[in-house]
Amino acid sequence: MFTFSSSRDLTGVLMIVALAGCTRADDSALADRIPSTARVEHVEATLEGLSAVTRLQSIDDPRVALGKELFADARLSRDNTVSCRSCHVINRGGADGLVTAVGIEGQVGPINTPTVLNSGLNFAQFWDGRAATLEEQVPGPIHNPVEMGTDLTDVVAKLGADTKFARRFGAVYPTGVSGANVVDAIATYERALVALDSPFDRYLGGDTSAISAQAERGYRAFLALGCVSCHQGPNVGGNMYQRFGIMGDYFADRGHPTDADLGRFRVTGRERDKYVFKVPSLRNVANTPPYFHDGSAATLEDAVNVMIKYQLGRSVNDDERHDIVAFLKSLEGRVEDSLL
Amino acid sequence: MRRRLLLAAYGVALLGLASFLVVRASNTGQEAFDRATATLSSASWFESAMEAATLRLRSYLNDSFDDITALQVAERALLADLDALGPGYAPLAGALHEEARLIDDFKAQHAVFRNSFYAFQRLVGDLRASEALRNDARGRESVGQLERAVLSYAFLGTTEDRAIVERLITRLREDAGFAPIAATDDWGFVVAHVRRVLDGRPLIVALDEERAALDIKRKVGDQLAGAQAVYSATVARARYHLYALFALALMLVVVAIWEIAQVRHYVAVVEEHGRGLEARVAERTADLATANDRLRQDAVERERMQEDLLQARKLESVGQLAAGVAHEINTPIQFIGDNIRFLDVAFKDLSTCLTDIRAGVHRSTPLSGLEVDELLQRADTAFIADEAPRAIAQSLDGVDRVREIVLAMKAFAHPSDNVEPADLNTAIKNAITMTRSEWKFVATAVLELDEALPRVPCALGSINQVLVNMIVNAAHAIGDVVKKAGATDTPALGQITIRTRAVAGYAEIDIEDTGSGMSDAIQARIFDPFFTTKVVGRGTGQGLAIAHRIIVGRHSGNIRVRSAVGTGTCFTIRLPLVREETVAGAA
Repeated sequence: MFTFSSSRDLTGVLMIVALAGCTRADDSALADRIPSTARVEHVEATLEGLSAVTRLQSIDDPRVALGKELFADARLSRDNTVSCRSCHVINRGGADGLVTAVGIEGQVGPINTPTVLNSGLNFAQFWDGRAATLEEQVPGPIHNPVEMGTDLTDVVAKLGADTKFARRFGAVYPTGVSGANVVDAIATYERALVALDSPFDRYLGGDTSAISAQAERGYRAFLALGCVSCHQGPNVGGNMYQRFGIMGDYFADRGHPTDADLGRFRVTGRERDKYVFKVPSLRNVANTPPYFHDGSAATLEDAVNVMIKYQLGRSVNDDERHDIVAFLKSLEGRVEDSLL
Repeated sequence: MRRRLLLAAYGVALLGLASFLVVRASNTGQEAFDRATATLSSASWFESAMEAATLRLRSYLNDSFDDITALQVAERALLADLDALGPGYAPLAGALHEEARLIDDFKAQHAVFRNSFYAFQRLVGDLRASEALRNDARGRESVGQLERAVLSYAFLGTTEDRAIVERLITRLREDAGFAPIAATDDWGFVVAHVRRVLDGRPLIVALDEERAALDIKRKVGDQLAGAQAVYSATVARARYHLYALFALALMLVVVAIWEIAQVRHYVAVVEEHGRGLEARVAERTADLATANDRLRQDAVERERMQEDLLQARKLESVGQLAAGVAHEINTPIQFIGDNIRFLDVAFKDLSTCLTDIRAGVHRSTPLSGLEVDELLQRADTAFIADEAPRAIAQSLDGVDRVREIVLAMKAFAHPSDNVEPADLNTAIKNAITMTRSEWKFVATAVLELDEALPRVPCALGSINQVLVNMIVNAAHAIGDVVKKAGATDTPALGQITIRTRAVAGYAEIDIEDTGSGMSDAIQARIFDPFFTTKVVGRGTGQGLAIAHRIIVGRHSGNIRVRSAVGTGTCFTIRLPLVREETVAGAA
């Protein structure tokens, strides 16, 4: 029996020995042909792939304060019971903690609520990427019959009838309460919702004591196991689409298929987009259980297990899993109190 | 009255047609063409950048999708620009949309391939270091061969390597010594990752080829050729409208000359008729009452014809002024256009630079100061900072100039013909503005206006006509001198000086030129109708006669003239500051 080892030094030395030991002419030619950047030891040595987050939007912009107010305004739903904040609880990781979302009249939605935190850093919005920008995303839940179940024109009528609110609105938008302005204010607030200054960001900035030795081991495992193949960039995800179930058939194993499982296929209608989802950001992930579009993983440990099995085709022991979870917890940033 | 209304409507319609033609003639489609070329060149840039980004990923120079994703996001603005250009750009926009989807696929497949490629290297490395293989030389050799074959396949993708990989996997599974290892989960992972490498490489290559087959660069070229064709057609159409404008101006002049010739003819006939009547009066005193009656009728008729003459003269000046004013407006409009086009390009450069800097800031290794400097330099920011304020200042000057002309036109186009107190100084400034194209090549205009001049009761429409006449006459007189001098040396510009002042119950206007001047004999006849010294087609001999009628007949003022051959001429118009009640209201 042999076990997985993440010691890159040992692997690297063995690799060099192996290549040096080759005597056949085509083997040495092969060694010349392969660029060093393609060797796994180079990849591990450079530790590339993740970078720090920065603010996208000044929080002093008056649109942010107005957007925050709208975000919490239940008049954005048909029966005035559900606001954006009902599902996106900022100090609970920007999500709702439920398996799938709950809308007006207690209707249960088909999919897990993605976090609103750092959403401005994603290259597309929603699990299936059907909105390119936050401005395109905002009207989605408002019009969805099982979420807020109303219409922007009705929302504008309700808000416009509130003279005091309309005055405050007019101070920020001279053209007054309109669908476009409501959308702009909410999207601007959402862009401001970037959680900053996580221990991991401080670690990347040079403060090696910002994260524990265990989290640091987890970071190296995160790179070595290949999680970073998809969860990459400043948002640790959110810059590409990927199929769920590369190294195994996740959906067959889970059973009871749903429409939402089809993912991006429902947007593009292309066969190759079946079971393809936007790779979610892992920032602040510790606060947003349960996990995946179906909310099937109750804990981070469960989620890591599923990812390693179905996406990476690897195995890890308990220690390595705990390390990775410790690393993921170090990705929790802070949202300014004024935005809560 | 109806006739006058009809004439006014006719004039308005002509002015409308003239301005329509001016607008159409100045629309060369330049702006649309510039927009199209800027958008298409940006599409071409994006395609190159996408090609480079996929190449970097394929050649293992880069693992991160940040760069290519930033390109995808930035390209959405380009797609919006293409959308705004119209449905003609749908083929290119469609191809770019398709490319975006292929890039999404490429990223997903590439991530899978890279992950399996690295995972394979790690797993095999661990396997070789394991206890299990320590004493199995044959197994070690096979695993080494497998590793080399997979690496080679990942780079070259040959079918030979693929066959070697397949053969080795089968052989290892069937090898009795290797059996314990082949039964482990880890060996299962190795095989699974080898499969992903074998399947992934052709998938990635196919996706990149599919992207290349979209042939976006050629599509950009096609669309550019299309935009050029549209542009040439628009330029041709603008030229056509310009010709139409010239034709219209020419037609107006011809119509005016014809009308005047007609009136001249009628007047001659009427005068002949009058002489015949006088003879009959002498012969037949018995018919005196009837004859008197007829005479009176004829006088009325003559008055009516003179009124017609006045209108025809007005029509002539409308035609002349429309062409002149159109030209005056066109010049500032042109340089305003040039400046705005420059600002457009400058702004696009700046915004590209900002996008680059922003993309750079979000990169895993943020831009250095040097790199930012280089981006700024590439966008020519120093030049833009120098030149943009100048372009803006010049454009604002131009806008002021156009506004001044338009205000003068407005004041000119709707003067009341009723007698009411009017500001002569403003009327003079407007007349100078309106006639600029008549005098600006031969003279400078100097205004010495008495700011304390009280408002003068007058029919401003008529006074405007007198002023324009006088200024045009002055310009012609100077033009004769300048033209003669022009044959030998560079012509020095002449000068038109207009002064106003108040003297003992009158307002006085001097209109002085440094033109050819007049002999005493000519001076004595200048106010006679149809007397002119100008060549045929340039004057009708009506200008000063009408001025005389307006100033002396309608306003109880007078016109004096002081002139010397070779020195110039000064007309002095005198208008009473207090209107006599009996004449008031005779419009």
